[in-house]
Amino acid sequence: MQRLISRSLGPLALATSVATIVMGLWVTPPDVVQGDLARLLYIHPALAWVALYLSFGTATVASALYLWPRTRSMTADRIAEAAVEVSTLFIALTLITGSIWGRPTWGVWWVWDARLTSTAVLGVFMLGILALRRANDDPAVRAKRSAVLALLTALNVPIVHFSVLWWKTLHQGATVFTDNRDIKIHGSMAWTLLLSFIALSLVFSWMVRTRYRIATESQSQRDRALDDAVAQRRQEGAQ
Amino acid sequence: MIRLALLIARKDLRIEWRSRVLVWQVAPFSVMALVVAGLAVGPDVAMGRRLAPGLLYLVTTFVALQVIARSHAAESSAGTATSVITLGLDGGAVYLGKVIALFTHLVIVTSALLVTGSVLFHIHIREVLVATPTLALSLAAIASSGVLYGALTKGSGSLLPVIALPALAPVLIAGERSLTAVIHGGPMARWVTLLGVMTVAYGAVGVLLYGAVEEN
Amino acid sequence: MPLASLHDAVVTAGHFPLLTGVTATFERGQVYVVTGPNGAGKTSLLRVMAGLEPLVRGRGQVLGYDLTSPQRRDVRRHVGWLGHEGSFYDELTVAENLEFAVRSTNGDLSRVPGALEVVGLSARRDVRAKNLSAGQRRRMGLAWLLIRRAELWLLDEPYASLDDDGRATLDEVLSVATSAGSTVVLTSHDPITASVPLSFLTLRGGAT
Repeated sequence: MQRLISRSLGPLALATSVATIVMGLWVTPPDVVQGDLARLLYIHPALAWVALYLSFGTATVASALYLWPRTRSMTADRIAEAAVEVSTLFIALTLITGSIWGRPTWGVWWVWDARLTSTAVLGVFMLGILALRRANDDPAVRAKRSAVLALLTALNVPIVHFSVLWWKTLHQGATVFTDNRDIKIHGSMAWTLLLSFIALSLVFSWMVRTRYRIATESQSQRDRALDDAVAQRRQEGAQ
Repeated sequence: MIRLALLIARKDLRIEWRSRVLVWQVAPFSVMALVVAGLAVGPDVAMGRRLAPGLLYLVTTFVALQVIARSHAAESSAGTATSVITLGLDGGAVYLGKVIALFTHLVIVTSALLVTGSVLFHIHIREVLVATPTLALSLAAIASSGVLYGALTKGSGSLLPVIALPALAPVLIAGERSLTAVIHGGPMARWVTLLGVMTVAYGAVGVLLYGAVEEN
Repeated sequence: MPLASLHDAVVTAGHFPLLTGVTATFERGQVYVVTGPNGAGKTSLLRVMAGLEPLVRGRGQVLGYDLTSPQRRDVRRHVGWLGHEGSFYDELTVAENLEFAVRSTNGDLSRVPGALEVVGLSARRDVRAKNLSAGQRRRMGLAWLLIRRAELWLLDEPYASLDDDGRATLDEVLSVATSAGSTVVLTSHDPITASVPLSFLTLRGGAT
């Protein structure tokens, strides 16, 4: 059963992504106010959801699991690393698609809006975590420090968000739901939006799983290389 | 824990005092940076007074990076680091001690900045006194977060600005807004709350996780 | 149970194997001298016994603490370490460094003057560590070991940088340590003539 799920993850992610593109570009009508520009909204919110909540949320939980002695394992560290890498990519795509949408809408590529700014700050932190990982050779030190930084990021992003929010705000309010939770957009647009969330969540899962496998295989290679290095050094010492 | 923290704070303060780097290098640099910032905004007095809070906090933020890096400099040599590790000190106590020392160093440097800023940008002494509690809270927030980020990037110094600046950005915003509120009027309570939350949150994380960060 | 034991211990630095399979047993109250050419892994052996490095392969225990688990960090409080780099803080004086170490570990401050006397640094107690010679710096580290009275002493090249007086002092200190039941493990390039019985352990290519 697990193998079936594992094998179908990639094809499913691809299929739903293609379906989203087809629906978003050709099947759904243009928006009444924004025209074809609104089609970006079929990927932008989903990208943001994956970047800020699914991916970074996974990284935070995996980091917390690594730091808690009872659940500490290199599996948690590898998942955290994979989630941080995917999060970085999705944050970049979120900001790019947001800017492309924002330029004709707001007239500028960038505004000092709370959500935008805290997303950008999160992106910088993700890069910081990746840089920190590359600065430490020891696997345990690397895992621990990047896990702590991930938790500090989880602490810091809401602080940044509120500080910029109180300083200035411009971002779109809730687009899909009204105050009493009636769905604002209708029909094929709503279904396409939902499909995009599912598709990108599957893409995230597939990317993290693939990256995890690569990390595991790299570790196996390093272990084999260590065996060779140990044998060689012992031989040199014996001569 | 408090006893050990105070011991470590005293040790860090003594080492920094004897090295003279803070007083003879960092503080003069910070004053010069503020002067240069003043040159950049031009001679208009009203403009200078309006921008003074932002400039003060901007320079404080960047200088804080230097002071944070120094807070871990004493243990940077291999021999010192190893001999201290074998003492087996409690991570939470070390964290608190370093926060106290870093806070004190920041107060010294910021005092020089405030005197310079008052003169350059015509901030009245009464305004400085009223702003002192929020200034102190800003420095506490910088200290409580800075010690953690400094420890995380020990051994890769160029990473500190990358990681610490986004974290210090809220302090910059809250500090500038609250100092502006003192000088020009405006709401202050939410900024004080933000700084307080930041200090306490980082403090809690630091006490719990500093040992894990320093572990090797 | 022996004070410490290692079986096929492997330690790495990045991808490089520092120790490639050390098997040794250390009994209480003995002095062990670890010899071997440069790069043989002598310092690494001391570091893993101090709990400063993790064991990547093999088994090991020191004072009952498992060196393959996070327990290895608990070993540090029970060892006296003397590295070949300078110990403690450059800007603090000899007395301040020792008092900081004693106070931070809830030790007995009254031992400090006596320890300074034994290592011949009483006249230098108010000199900053950075102004000491390498040999004097080593003696300051030795004074801490005397104060701490750990069960396991780990000394890396302790005879280097010591003059004849210094070597005589070190011999006396080792004698005091073993009489009190401590185990001493030290590394050396040079031949050693000590007044206490010695056991030798030779490393080559990171292995015994």
